[in-house]
Amino acid sequence: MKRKQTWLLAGNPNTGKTSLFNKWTGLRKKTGNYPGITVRKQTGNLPPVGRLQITLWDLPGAYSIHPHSPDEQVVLETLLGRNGPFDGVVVVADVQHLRKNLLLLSEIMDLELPVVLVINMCDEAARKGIRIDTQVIEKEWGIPVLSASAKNHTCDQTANPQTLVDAMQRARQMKARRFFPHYKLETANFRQFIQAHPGINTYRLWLLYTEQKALRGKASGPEKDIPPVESEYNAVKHRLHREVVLRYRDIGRLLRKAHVRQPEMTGSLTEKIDRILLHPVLGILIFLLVMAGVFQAVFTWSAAPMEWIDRQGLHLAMWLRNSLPPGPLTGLLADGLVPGLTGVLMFVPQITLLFLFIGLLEETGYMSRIVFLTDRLLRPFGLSGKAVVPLLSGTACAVPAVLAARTVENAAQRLITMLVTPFVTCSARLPVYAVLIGLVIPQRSWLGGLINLQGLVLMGLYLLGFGMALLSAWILKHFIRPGYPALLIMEMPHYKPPIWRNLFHTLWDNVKAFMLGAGKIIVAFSIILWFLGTHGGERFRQAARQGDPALQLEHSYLGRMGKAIEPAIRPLGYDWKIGIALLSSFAAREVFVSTLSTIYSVQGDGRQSLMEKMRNETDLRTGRHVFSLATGLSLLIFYALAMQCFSTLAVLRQETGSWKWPALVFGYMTGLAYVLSLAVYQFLS
Amino acid sequence: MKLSELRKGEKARIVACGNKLPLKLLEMGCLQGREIQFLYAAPWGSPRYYRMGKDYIALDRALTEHIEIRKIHEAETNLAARR
Repeated sequence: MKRKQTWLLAGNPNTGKTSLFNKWTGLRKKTGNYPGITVRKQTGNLPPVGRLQITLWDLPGAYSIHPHSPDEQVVLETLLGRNGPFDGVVVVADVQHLRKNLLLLSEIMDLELPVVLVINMCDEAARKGIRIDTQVIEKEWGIPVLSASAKNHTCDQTANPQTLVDAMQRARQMKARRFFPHYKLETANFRQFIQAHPGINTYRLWLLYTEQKALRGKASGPEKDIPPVESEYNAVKHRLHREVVLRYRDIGRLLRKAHVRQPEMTGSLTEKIDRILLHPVLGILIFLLVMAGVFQAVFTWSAAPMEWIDRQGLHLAMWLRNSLPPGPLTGLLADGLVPGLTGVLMFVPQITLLFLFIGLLEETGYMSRIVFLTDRLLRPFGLSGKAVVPLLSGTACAVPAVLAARTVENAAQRLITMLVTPFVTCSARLPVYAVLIGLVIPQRSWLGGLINLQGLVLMGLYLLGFGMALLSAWILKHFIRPGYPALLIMEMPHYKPPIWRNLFHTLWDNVKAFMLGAGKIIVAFSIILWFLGTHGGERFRQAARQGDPALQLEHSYLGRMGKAIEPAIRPLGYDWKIGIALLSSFAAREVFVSTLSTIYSVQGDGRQSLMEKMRNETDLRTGRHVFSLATGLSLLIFYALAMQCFSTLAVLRQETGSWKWPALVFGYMTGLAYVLSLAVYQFLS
Repeated sequence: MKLSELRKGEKARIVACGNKLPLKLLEMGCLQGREIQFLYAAPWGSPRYYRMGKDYIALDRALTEHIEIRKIHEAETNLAARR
């Protein structure tokens, strides 16, 4: 019989916890979500030792068991056993920051759980001359202590899984020290609460009592009738502060006994690098350069693989059409499913590259510096410095950008960031802009070609996107209130070279999540669009018999929908053909160009380009050109602002956990687009 | 004096992290007696970058109004260095 155990892996951020998790579990891991929220849950198996199979559960990084963010809330709930049973906790600490890292350990020990302390980065310790007597910690606090390193180093005691598993089993026998009962932090209400629950761990009760707001709404354990904390709010707050002070006192005593010798930090390399990277002028310049470099790379490096995937999709569709008997199933495969899947896979190179760079920025510690530099600038809009990366990533594609918002800790700020990111001009808008600007904006330039009107309009559209994102954030700020205080308190981690294994793991997780999560919905929607575009009533079948694709489209369900919405879009200056393009580009904006080219493909003698056809297109009713300046600008505004990307809606659904937010984004953006396009057209025509 | 009054490069010892401050700040090590040094400020004056004990920490300027400190004078620093 195999025996199974589940152990939690806890620790402060920046302790290298996840590096150790990846090293110990390799690829034997699973990623999921905690129920109801978007904090990701990672579990992995240690290599089996004897008959013992241990599953390790990587908790989000937390400074303390008292939560200050949704991530830390998960840690508290899990430690209280609300996310399932477990056998013990492995706490990871960084040898260079033991004092701060042991705070969480001491709190977990007070819950009377089996605990193993793993002191990480022993290679750094060896290099910097930090010495620590793990035996003293083991004896004083009554827990097994191991030293470890995510890099391969002789000091790593966890290199052999047997040692780790042995320590875990030892922890179950040992009696860890307890601190909380000695702190005498009782208030009147809390004392009553203890008396009502004899035999239950008092620190557990303390957490249930003091964190009842954070824990509210979750299924509760055997403890009932938690007295309200509000009446003693000030007394409790004072005691929570006192708890931290007392814990640090006990940690200080321990570290003195363990003879921890730590080198002086002043004038460290990190400090010297930051003198340049955080310089008010130079720092900002470097930041802009880094960002420009990242987006250049994301754009240019992904172009070739994207084109390749697109071509392979076309080939596959063609091959299917040629080798399968014609019929609805072949149509579904070749015109619905394969293009849909290609549409998903095409984003993979961009997403991979973007996440590679974001991962690099995170791993090296530069991300915290970006937050530092931009925090003040974004704060008036209800965003924090951490929103910079999602907003800038949005210029490539809103899908990875929404995923990148995971780095924003504050739940309200994260939600706002995700909701406004789709305004940023993404790469899918570019082909539409290119066609429309070429069509309606005259080629005029000044200063010997240095300033060009078409370029100015393009830049204006980018600025419009960013401007609307910030404005909308500012509006949302008044409705979405942060649950946790949003003032910046952030550890600035030391700079360090990236650990490639971590980068690889993160990349793989994110790309996989994108393909499975958003992919499903994109495929479903492209099948629906295909069906609507290729099916219709009697007149559609008639057109099909005549072999007239344009007439066919006109009478397809999609075409009829275009006709049906014509009264609504006429005031914006669009006819039913543009209506079809609009409707079909609700799946993805770039479809606009391909739909128009299908519609216009039959007119003329095939020698005219799409642009020429569009330029010559005249309205039968008015006898004027369809693509006038007014219509063109109105369309540009519409494409800049409207929510026309099903992938983004899908990823918003995945990240917020409900259809409510994507629905809001859709209604708000599209409504805004309609009103402003209407204003532009009516003003100009 | 308050932490917000400390000038760039100056060192101080923390006297009190008031009850008004978020618990997180204490957990990050804002404790009585801890040495703190103002290193850099972001453009527009906030947030600020400090060395607190052995850690580097960024704080919104508004928070530094509530942290009581006692400045360490150069003479004192030199004395400590000689010891």
